[in-house]
Amino acid sequence: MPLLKRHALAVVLMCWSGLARAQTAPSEDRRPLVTLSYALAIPASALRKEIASTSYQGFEYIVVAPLYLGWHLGVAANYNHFFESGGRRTYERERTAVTGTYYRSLTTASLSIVNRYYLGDADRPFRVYGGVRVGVSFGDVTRRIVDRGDDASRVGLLVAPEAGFSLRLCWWLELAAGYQFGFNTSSFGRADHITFHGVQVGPQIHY
Amino acid sequence: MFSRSSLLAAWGLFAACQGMPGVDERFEENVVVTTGDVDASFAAYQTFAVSPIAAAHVDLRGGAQTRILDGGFAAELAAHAAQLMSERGYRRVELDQSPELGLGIGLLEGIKTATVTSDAFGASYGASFGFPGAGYYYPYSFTYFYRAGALTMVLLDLKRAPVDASVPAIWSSIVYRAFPPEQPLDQVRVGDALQQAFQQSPYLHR
Repeated sequence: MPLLKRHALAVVLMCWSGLARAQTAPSEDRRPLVTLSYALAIPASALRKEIASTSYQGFEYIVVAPLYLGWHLGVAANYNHFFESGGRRTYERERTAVTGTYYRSLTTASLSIVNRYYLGDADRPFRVYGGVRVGVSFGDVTRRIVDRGDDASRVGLLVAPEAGFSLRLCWWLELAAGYQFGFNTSSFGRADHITFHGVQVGPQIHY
Repeated sequence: MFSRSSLLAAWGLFAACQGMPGVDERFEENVVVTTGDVDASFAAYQTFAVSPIAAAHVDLRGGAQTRILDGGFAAELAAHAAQLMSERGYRRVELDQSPELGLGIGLLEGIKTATVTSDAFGASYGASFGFPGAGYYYPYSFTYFYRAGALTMVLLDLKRAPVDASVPAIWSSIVYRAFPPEQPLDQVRVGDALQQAFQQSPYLHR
């Protein structure tokens, strides 16, 4: 079954499984929001010097709790894997040289505090939000020319302003989509810092 | 029927990370490896000779049968290599004129997946450079295996007498996938491989 149809069926089943249960009215719903999203990341500025290819392999898990009116506070865990091959390079050390295809990969995992504000009442079917995330990002960097290269681990501070929206599908299920601009202080090769545009799409539930 | 949590978790499944190809796979590309003896003074040599081009056919057991290539392609390949050496200040002489350096060029044909760890060309070079029965050895670390489809080159120090029936090498090169195994040799592709090997050896000059 094509991937899109499988996801659509999952959404229908998830909504249907909640219909028979008594639900809290949305305006009174002060439960945390849990979001599990597919995340893609597009290298920006400095990072593009090393890897220009988009990361289509990523996910994100967010839990935010309402504190006051539209203000929500929570935590986020994000993962993305970048990989690129191409171009011939020569690795040289003393009088040994190896020329071949240049491979590089970057895997990032971050934990951050999410400070987010939702506009409008909780009972609105469509709401937008804005906020910022601050946390720590861990990265594994690999560069290879044939059998030569290096591996390194990076830890840096992550600051990521974000914006997005949620669309209610049924009592407890919403579709969430968002954008963040991630700025990571750690470096990678010729990239002084790691920056990327992140896009996330996924279901959000009132847990 | 379905818990929300389990369905939500199932949503999170995604394809396995795109990883780096394995080392074996990376050597299937056009890779050029060169190594020079760090203790060798390349400026101390003046003359060189090129041995007849040898081709070794690899079989599944890892053995190789070597033959000497003749004809236009071999002559042009030898001439190209000689030109690259001349551009670096060395003077070409004939094999019987006591060259100080011996340039051996070999081509590995045969089964694509077979590797040859033993020297396939030593006897041929030894005979060409006046040391019949002598092979050659690397006084430096050189751990790459031959693979079918590779072009190999070695620069032998003929100023030094053989040690234990082996002549020392001061420079070596392997170009993987220089030509497709079991197919006619592509003159341009092999020439490019030879060019790259010299290009990444800037210390190789008088």
